Amino acid sequence: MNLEGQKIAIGKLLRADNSHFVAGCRVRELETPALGSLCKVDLGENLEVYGLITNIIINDDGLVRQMVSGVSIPSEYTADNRYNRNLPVEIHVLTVGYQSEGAIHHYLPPRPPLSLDVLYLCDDAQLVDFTAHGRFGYFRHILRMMDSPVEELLVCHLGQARAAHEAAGDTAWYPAACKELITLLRDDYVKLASVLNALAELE
Amino acid sequence: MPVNYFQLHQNLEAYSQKTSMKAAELNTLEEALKKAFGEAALDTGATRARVERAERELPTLYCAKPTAEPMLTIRDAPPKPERYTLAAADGSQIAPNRHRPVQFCVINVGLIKAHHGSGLEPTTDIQSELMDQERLFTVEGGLIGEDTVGLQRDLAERRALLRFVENETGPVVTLTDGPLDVYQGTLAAAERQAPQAEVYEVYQKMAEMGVINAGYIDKPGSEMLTRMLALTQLPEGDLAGYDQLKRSMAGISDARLLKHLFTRTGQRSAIFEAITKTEANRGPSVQAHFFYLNVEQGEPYLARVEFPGWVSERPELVDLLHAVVYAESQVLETHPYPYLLHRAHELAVITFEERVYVEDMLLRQFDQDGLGLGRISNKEVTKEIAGGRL
Repeated sequence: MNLEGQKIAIGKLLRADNSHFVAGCRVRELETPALGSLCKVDLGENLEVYGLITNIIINDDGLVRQMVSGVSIPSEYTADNRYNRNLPVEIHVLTVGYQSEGAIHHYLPPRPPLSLDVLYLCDDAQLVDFTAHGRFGYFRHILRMMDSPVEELLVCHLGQARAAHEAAGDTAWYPAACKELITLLRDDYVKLASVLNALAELE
Repeated sequence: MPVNYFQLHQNLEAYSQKTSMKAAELNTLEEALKKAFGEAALDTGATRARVERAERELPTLYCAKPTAEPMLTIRDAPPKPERYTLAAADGSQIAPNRHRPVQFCVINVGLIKAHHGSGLEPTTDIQSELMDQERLFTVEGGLIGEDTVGLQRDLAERRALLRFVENETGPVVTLTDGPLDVYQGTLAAAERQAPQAEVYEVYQKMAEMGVINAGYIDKPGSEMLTRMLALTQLPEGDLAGYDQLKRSMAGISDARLLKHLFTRTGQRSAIFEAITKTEANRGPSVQAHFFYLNVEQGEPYLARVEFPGWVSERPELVDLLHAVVYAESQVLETHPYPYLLHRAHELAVITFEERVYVEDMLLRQFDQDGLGLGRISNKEVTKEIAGGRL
């Protein structure tokens, strides 16, 4: 198992609990993270927490609100607000598992990351390793989400994971993931229909 | 209860009545001044000559002087150039406080520079100066006050701005908040002469570089035109005895006097020279010129834009300044104010937490060097406990 690839830092931790965490990043760093991407935080002592990006929030303040109503904003000042001013973009992450002593687990970590820990984007190899482990145990964390568009998150995540698996020669992973979702949602027809409808977008 | 609202409430009616009477009085004065301004505008040369005579004859004088432009001039904003550099500076300070455990002064200058037409984000910088220990005290041995710190802050802004733009090419405009001349407050002449001379030197260098340095005064309250009209209303022989502190025509700002002339946003007034002759001001002076600029749609809202005299001798530079400052103020369209000046302020401002942190840095250094640590006053401790900061 190789979870050590090229590390792409995408932000630093603002706040966290065992099941969620929020990282802040500058707009310039926003090119790499995407909704549904798998990311991780290295807590040291051979412990890494994994999560899926569930939301990216662009914050505002009084000056931005005032500028929004302006007729014409010079491009230099748009850039000023994006790159110079101290308004971090918030990346919300759902904790989906952790790695300890080289072993992946799809349940919640013993402790959350700490403030200012660095959030890294997982590369394709790490994504394949994490999602291929076990039997999709991390799906339950996603399906438990209440106030987020679960279907959209699944479409984004499964799309990225499917591409990574297929690039690695594994075409069976995606159908198996869909089958597992159908099993998990068999008692919730409304949500199942909604998820399948969304997944149809990937075909 | 922090305020005795009941007591205040009892005075509201009388306060409002007095305000109403004062407003009526000022309305009458405003009409008289508008008429006097119109008359003075009929012969700009004669009005200028009257002010120049007053300059020669009076020991002190603070008023406007017409330039070659007709006094009733109103000009629309010209189009701004496609490429130009605009830089702004603003300062803030931690003034020394005898109640704190350690006496220190920090002057912070926020700088921002945009290359318009480049599409790139502006360059920013913050210059922080811990004032030398020996400059913290007056010749009498007391701690320097807010006025001295304000003067040093203004000087630091101008110095930093000069360094910030010295390698720029093409049209360059700089903005500071407030008049071109530095803050003087109630300082003694001896104390302000050296900083004023240095500011003059900075402005001279900017002039040699072709940099247009301007001061932006929002909601200006000055009555320089009213003072000028007071001179024109005097009988010929009474000029030498004129005392500007005893003038009867007071209370109408230039902005209020000129407001009715503006019909569109972006328009500027005629250019005037600011005459600031004081007994102490014997050295070279900034020789600021200014115009009023309407930055709002609908009801006119005037800002004063000050700039050096050499700029007003070149109409193309006045047009450039006019266009740039107007465009800049429109970025924050709902409350027009130059965007970069606001950003410079945002960069410069020192928060309470930062002040405490700087103080801690100093205390740690003192402790490391084996210096005796001063103590915070009991009064300050009590205030901080009450304010929840301790």
